Amino acid sequence: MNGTIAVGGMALAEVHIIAEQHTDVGRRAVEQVEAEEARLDAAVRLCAAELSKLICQLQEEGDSDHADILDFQLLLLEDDHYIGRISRMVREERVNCEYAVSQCSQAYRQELSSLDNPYLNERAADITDIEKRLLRALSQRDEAPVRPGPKIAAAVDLTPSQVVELGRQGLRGIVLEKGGLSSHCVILARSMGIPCIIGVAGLLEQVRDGQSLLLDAEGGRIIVEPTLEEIQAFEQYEAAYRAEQKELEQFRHAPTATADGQAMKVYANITSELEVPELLKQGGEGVGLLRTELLYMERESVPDEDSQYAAYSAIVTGLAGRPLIVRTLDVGGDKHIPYLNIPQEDNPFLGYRAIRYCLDYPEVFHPQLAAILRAAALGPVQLMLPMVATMTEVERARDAVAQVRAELKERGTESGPISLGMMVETPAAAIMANQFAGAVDFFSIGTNDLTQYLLAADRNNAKVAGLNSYFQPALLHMVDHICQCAHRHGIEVDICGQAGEMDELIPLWVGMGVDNLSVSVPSIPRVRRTISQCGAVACRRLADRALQCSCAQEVMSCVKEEVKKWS
Amino acid sequence: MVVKELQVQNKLGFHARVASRITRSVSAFQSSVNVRKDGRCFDLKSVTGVMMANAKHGDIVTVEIDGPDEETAAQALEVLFAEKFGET
Repeated sequence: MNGTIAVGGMALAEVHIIAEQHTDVGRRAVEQVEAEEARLDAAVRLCAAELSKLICQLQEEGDSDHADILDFQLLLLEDDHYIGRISRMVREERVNCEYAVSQCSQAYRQELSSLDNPYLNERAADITDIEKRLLRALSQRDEAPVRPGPKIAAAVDLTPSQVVELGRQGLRGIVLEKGGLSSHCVILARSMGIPCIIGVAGLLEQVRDGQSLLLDAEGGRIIVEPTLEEIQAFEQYEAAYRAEQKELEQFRHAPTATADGQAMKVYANITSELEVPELLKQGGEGVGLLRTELLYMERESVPDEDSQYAAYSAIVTGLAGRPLIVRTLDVGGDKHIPYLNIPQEDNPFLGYRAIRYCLDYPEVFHPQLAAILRAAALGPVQLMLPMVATMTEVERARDAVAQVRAELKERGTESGPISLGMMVETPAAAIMANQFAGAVDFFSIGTNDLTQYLLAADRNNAKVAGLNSYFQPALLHMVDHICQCAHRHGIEVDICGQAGEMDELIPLWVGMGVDNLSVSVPSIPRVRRTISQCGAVACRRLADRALQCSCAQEVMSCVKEEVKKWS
Repeated sequence: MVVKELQVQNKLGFHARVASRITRSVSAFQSSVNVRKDGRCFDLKSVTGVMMANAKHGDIVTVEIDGPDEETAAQALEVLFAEKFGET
């Protein structure tokens, strides 16, 4: 079976199937209301005890982020607005608990989803979570007993509390029939470093509880009852992985420097504050790219300034003085957000997206700028514009920032200093880098888009995937040019695309004088190690040689040959 | 009934963690505790009530406490607000 890789890695363990619970929530009249109320009380007490126990364990382990998720659910069990409503319905309408729980949860969910506050919108998922827990307690059905030992959870979808709970019971991997790359469950799995594959059609029809399962979240495959050979391959992978992790340990918290002592920084690309604890654990020196799209997804309307501020400030606070680069909304292209009403386009990657859209919609753009400016009062924050192609866009964005800052001042709301930078991901911006470098405070090269635009090859089209190589000399010339322009103007240049974390390419970036690499959280120590093996002078020579190459293949062998000589 | 005007002093305003703290502390009292903001009334004994009130840093909210232990409850609330709900 195949699926989409949500969190990379591999796992071999028994399958633990988490079946959807089908409780009859139909309306039934009850004769003895007192008995029904007592049943509800007992269920509430059971759920509260389960949650309290889990919260205590998590807090003892210092995992307050996950504890907070569950704490909110515990409070719902005391909340008159929720549990009070359920109990009144049972009493006044003389109906069964299951019906009342399901009806009130549904009503409450709708109420929360309709509010213009993503924080509360997100809490709708907590209602589903607690509803399921209550229904299970009412049916007096124990949760399918979780066998001790390592396991891979298989389900249609998982609630956040299920992920947290399983995480404490030897969870090695997650495989889902549904699931979304930006769903809460996947973000949690990523923050816990649990390999995860989603979108596996027909999964639950093809696996049985207790079967042995090989989850290959490097190749996107799931193998039921793997053969001896497949198991051996996994064991080799795991042994290599363990050895690698051990070797990387010393690079988690060491300062980043090249072999000849030139300082650099390794930042992380993140989407949510949930990823900050893992970033710190892996030794990230800041956030080089906060993708803000997640705040806008899975909801019905534009998130307001305050809820965005809450999200950004949680990250700034968590980073404790490390820099945070916030990219403004990069909607469009392959990221579709229905309520923004961006019409379907023939060529969305060349269409109405990112800064082009934001500049036209101050009602969307300005609250985000305000939230970023306010968060900047709490720590070092940098603002980054996506998809810039012309100078006018930078000027208009700068004006918008000034206007929003003035409005905040008028309101008496504190804002902090920010530097304004841009993604260099359109060929136009790359070619005009000299002019842009004089107009912004920093560059961050988005190699994914820059490569596809430069080669005129859609990165989601498998037929032209061969063109989309980061080894293309055309890309290298662009990056080299961007770096030179940045340095001429004394501004920093980062790479936040995938090319920034590829071992084979890092020597070239070091040679070209890239200041910081922003990479996925698990790659931080590895990238730092690779940088430590690169001598800046030797790398510059290597870069010069690579720039003479005439095709991607030649670049690849040129780099490989040279790097072999170093070790 | 005791009516107090209290200022929200923590940076993040009425957020989830704060909501838990407020709800927990006012639930200890018998009196009803409601907050009026922008013409609407929210129950501070409900964690969602607190969050829906959506009070921000610097906002001044009107809190109405009504019941047998309203004086003690009002004092407790004043302390809670003054201590920024234990945040910054």
